[in-house]
Amino acid sequence: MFNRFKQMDHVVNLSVILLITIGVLFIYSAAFDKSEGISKLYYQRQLIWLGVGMGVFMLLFSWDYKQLVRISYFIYGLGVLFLILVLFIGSKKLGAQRWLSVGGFVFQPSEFSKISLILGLTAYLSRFSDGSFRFRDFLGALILMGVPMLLILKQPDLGTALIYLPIFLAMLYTAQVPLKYLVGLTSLGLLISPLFWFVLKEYQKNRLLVFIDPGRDPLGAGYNLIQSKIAVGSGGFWGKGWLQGTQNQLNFLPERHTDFVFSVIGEEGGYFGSLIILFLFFLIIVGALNISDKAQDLSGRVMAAGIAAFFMAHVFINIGMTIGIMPITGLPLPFVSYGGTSLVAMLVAVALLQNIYSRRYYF
Amino acid sequence: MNKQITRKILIVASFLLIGVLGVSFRLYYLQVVSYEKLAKKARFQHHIELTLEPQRGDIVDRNGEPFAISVDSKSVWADPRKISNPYEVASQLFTILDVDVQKIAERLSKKKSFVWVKRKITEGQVVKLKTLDLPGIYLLEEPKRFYPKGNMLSHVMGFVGIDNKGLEGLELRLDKYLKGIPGKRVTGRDRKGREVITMRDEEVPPVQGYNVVLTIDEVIQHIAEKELEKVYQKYNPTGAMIVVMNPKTGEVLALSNRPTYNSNKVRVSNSEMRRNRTVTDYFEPGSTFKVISGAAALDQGVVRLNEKIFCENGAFWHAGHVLHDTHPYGDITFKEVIEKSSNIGTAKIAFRLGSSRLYNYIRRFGFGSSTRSGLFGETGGVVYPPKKWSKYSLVAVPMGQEVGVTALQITSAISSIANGGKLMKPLILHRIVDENNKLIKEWQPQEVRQVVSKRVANDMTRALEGVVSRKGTAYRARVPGYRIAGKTGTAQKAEPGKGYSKTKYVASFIGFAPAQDPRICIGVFVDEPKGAYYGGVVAAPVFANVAAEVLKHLDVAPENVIQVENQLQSKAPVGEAVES
Repeated sequence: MFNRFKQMDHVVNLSVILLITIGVLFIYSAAFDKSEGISKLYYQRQLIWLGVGMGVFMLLFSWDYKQLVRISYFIYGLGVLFLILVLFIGSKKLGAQRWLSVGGFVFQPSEFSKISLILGLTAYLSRFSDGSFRFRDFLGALILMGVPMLLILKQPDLGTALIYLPIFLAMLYTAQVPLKYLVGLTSLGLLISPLFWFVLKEYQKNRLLVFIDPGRDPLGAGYNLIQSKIAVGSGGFWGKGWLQGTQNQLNFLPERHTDFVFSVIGEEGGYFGSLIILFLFFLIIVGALNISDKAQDLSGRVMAAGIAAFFMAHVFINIGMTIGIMPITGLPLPFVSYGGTSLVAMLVAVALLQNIYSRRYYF
Repeated sequence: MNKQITRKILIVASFLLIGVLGVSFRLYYLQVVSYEKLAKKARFQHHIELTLEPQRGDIVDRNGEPFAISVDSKSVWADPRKISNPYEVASQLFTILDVDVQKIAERLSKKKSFVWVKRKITEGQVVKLKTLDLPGIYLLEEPKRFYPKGNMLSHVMGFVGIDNKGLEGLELRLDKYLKGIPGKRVTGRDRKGREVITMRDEEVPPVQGYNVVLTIDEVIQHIAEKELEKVYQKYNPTGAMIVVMNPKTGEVLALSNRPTYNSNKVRVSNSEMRRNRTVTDYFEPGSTFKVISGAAALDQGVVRLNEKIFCENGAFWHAGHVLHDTHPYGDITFKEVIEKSSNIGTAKIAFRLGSSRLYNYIRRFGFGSSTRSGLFGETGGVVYPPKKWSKYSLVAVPMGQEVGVTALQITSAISSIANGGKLMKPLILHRIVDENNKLIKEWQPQEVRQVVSKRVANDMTRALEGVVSRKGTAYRARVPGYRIAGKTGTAQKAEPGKGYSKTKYVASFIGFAPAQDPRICIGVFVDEPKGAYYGGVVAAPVFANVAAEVLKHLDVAPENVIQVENQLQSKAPVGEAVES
């Protein structure tokens, strides 16, 4: 057991620990009340969730992932079940039905569903280690992704639904699925994407419009984006210092302990701090890709590739929205944003990576 | 196989690299290239510069008694961006602040971040407003001007506007000394517009305005106001004025006007009530001016005090006019001419003097030019040069017609007689000090000129003492225990195009006491009194009452009355004389 701990990718682990530490510090800053001299309790709750996440991490690390793949359909089914449940008994916040309350704890099934989708697809794809992947198998994979995706869109949670696509593509790509299917799917997706405009809700349309032109509604839909850019830009090269960000401390920044926590880092940590964050994510994702490359078997490889895509999509969509190169969607920044389910899900993903890595082939 | 996988992984990794580079470049653009622009935008959002209103300096009397002070008060303002229901908020404000609902609602609907709701509200309103706690409605500290004495000296003080800027009187004239220097507070505000105390920096505290010390004596002012009010009530004149001076220094000790107003309630006054008539209005003084012509004649040696003048038994033809005296006199001394205020006697003296010398003395006594007392809105009056005079002018001018003088001018001219012939510049300002009582500016008594010799001044004083004797026109100006000198005036008012009115007069009395060592000179002027009009009847008693109280206040010891009376009265006449 302890021997296997030594087999972990320590660069990934260290990067994760640093990001979580930075996250707690900036959740503290984001919820800091200058006149009172104290911070709201978010950072404490995040630490509690970190404890929970560590426990889950240990559990999933020690249990061989190949056995885990065997019950993956069950976990996938659980994920779908939660998504159905949330539609009926979920609690509403900000116009979307995304949360389940379980014994006082709030649980976000969409976060869990990202992991359960990766596991479900892993189980599905690992059957084709002989390279006999046909079109109907491709359709099967599409259905596997499509069911939770439609349930998520119903909430509605466009951001999470969009996360599924890169995960799906990366996993199928590394699973030796014929490239023509993927190219075909991508082209088709691009072709019909304009039609999606008509199924979007008004606020979603607004978010896309202000992404193109933030000035069209500076106090409404464009507000978050404008304020975030101002905060990040005003940080300059070295930043204003921890707890010193004016846009953060004076409430100009929205959702700053959750989705927009990067704006706080950008303001208080400057370009320097932002690059450190970016570099740590780079190390984690490169590590994940390396793990995928070195994986013992196909299931380990696709799972690690899925997790790499999962991190990549989160990082670029989240940071991208705070700096105005991506539309605003409600996605957290992995390890950094406040949010229990998300943090636990991210640690689960790291546990799976380390699980695969510690059981890799040696060359 | 494995090579192929590694290649695929590298392709995925290249997406990662593109993403990382893209984000890095974008961050570089925002945080390095656009830093200045965005930092400025951020600063604009949270940075506020508040002007800290300085406390306006006090105005106090010579003993430090406050006449104008600054008190703490609060003003209500609103941030319309935070108000979604202007009418509802406006009607709630109405219940407390009594503001116009329609007007306020419109103001609250403006696309601004700052509008006034009501300035300088009462303490009670503050408490009520705080309990309501309306969103978007805030309070701001603003010092408010308060005049603790209300009506008293309001014509001298003037008043300030809502911005604490002087609008009239000394408040306007001395604004640059009183206003102080505004401070500046640079601070942060949060998204809701509230000030964030911890973000305060580079605070420049306001500098309190200088305090102004007047020459006024509050006690004397009070006496003067009280007596002026009495005469104002009794004779219902269109106006009334009183000036109390220290003849040796020129310091104005009290000054009052009727009608009057309260500096705290300027809104319910009009310009007629607010005018400081003692300096803004000029009028024909009438017989008080005989002191000027008489002193000029004595100084030029064209007449002696005991020289007999034939007064034509009451009717004297000159330049196509017939000049009358109120009572006919034959041969009387020049002293008696003054005592009884003979027009004919005065005219005859003036003939000896001539227009040019008379004019020179009039100017030397300070007429025809502003006294530059420092009071707001002062006029110089009207004195025509001799070349503009008619043949009749040499009769009219010496008895106070065809000249326009201010109450302050003539009171200061008579003061020069009391001061041994030395004309002092009238002073209303004593000194200006800062909040630590450090002297900023001081006004010393200033001699304008020696107008007539000391001997002439003494002679004239003797004649003026006669005016207040039983033989004179102003017996009612006497103050038991003191020697009083003074002169009455009962000037018919000129009506445009109609000559002199038979019903409208300016009744006046100007006198000083004690005659042998004058401490005060008082001018009383009553414009168009109803029921009586002689200066000796209407104005002289005001003088007597004020002088009696003021002499007591100044601790001037009374003399042996009997002895004084005996000295003055060679023969005991019956009744009082009055003059026209």
